[in-house]
Amino acid sequence: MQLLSLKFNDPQAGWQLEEVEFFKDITLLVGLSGVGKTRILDSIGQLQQIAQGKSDSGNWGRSWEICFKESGDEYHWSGEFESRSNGNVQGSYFGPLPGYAEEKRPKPKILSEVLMKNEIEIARRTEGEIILSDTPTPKLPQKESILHILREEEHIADASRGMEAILYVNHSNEPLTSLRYLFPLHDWEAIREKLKTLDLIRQEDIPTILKLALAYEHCPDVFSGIISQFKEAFPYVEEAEFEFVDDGGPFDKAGRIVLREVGVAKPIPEESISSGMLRTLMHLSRMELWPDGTVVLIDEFENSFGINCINFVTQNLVAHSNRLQFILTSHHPYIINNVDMKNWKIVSRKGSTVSVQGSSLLDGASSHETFLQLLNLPEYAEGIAVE
Amino acid sequence: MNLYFLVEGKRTEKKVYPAWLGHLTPFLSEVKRFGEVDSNNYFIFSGEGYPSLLDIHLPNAIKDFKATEKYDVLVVALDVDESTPENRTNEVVCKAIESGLPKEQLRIIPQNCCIESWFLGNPRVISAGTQSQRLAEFLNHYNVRSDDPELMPVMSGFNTKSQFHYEYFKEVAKNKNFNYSKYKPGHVVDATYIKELKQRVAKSDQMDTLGGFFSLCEEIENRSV
Repeated sequence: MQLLSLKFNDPQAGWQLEEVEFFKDITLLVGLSGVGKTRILDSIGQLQQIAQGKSDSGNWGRSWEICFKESGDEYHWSGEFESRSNGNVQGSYFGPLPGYAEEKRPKPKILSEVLMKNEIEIARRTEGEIILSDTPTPKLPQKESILHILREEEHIADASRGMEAILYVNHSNEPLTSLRYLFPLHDWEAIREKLKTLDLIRQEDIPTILKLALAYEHCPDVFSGIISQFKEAFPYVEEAEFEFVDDGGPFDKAGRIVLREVGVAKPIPEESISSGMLRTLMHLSRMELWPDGTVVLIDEFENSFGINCINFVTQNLVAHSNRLQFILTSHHPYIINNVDMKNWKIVSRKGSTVSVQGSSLLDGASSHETFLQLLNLPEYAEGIAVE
Repeated sequence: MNLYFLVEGKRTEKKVYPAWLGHLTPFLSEVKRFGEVDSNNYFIFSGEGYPSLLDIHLPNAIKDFKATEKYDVLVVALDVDESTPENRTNEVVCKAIESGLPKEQLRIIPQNCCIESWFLGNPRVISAGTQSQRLAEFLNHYNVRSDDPELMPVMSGFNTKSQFHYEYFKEVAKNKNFNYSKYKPGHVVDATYIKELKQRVAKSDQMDTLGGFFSLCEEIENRSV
């Protein structure tokens, strides 16, 4: 999938994103803290959920327009959820309130929805009725998107699959030491038999750490390639492998990654590996083990990368941008300096309206570090204005 | 006359210098991109508080300065901090010459010890009446109304002179009912504020480095006529 553009409106949260266009390879969203960079990534993540038919009590009043390419075709998908009639109940952007489970909260219907393929209308929903290729359908669920409920239909299947190809990497939520819970042995045996090639491993929508374990089992060249890159950032690492240990829990045995380091007698189990090292390993694994055309969203790319590996992971990401599409946020000078300024998008906010523009004032002629040029731009420095 | 300003600090200088130049040299106008300079313009580039002003940002600024062939003077404004104005000036001169900038095209504005030291030079901003206990302690340590703020030593409890001068001025502003921050410097950009500072420099032998800035403004005026 290639994400082309997005417009998003979340009236409950008082947040509106004007149309933003994304680059084919890397879009680096830059801007002052608080302009709404993370919310842009969140919006894409929320649209993926909507495309998967998942209802969310935060969807009241939300509307969207997204353009993307999948399998050579260009799709334009737009829609709008119903608004709350009383308008005084706040949305759940920050998750359900304690004591009030998300599943009990009322979910909105989708009022209108249109899917176009190469500028030709494929499906439309209006006033509870869905028209598919000019033909009314039987009554279908009103809280699930047409991308989900009609995902088996010709012309819609590719669009639905395209919206699946989004990987939102959120470092603050990423499970690191939960590997053992991710693949208890009985699941592992089944998945190990099913996914035996790099292509199958890449295509399966499973956690990256599990993909890495499968690469260790079935694709030793790929695994050792990832580990040799890892060793470039951490030269004191000698070897990495997976082992199966008695967990003492409900699963008999569980898998975990183990590192061996120069001068350290005992192997270092996953739970004792530093978070920076694990995140670097996960980043390198992601780069190799997700399929071509995955849209990778990474919020605050620099998070948890130490000074000794931030250069390395940035260069590694840039090198994979011919295969994966990245939409990143960052404040880090090194990352900003090392992503071409033509790939920057400057995010600014006026009241609740967020807009994104190219770096128009940068013509590449200045000798200053590009990061400092950015900080000196008025649209960056004055990125938050009151209405 | 066209000037290229390289300033060290985060947001303050990028707000204060354009405002002050607007009052003192109103015939100059700012350009937002260094290549847009034409006639009676200035461009201001900030190192944003990142290190390496002398080693990286100054040589880069000189490259941009020379590339356009339209600038007359490169102005470097930087905090003196724990050094001396003379030492800071010499450091800049050496680096600039290394990077191929003739000395006659260079003007240095050392801010002794930081830009907040200059702001403290306005005697009218210090409340004569009710003062917070904190401001009273600061005034007791060093009375910036009578003594040269640029020469104020650090007070115990603060790590550096610049940190102390900043906190001193913040407290002064608070007592005068305005908020001061690096991002929102408030009244210091007003014409009346700069007028008070000019008077203090003119009527005393204090605030040497601020006086250097005023002299530069006079030079700009003379050369632009």
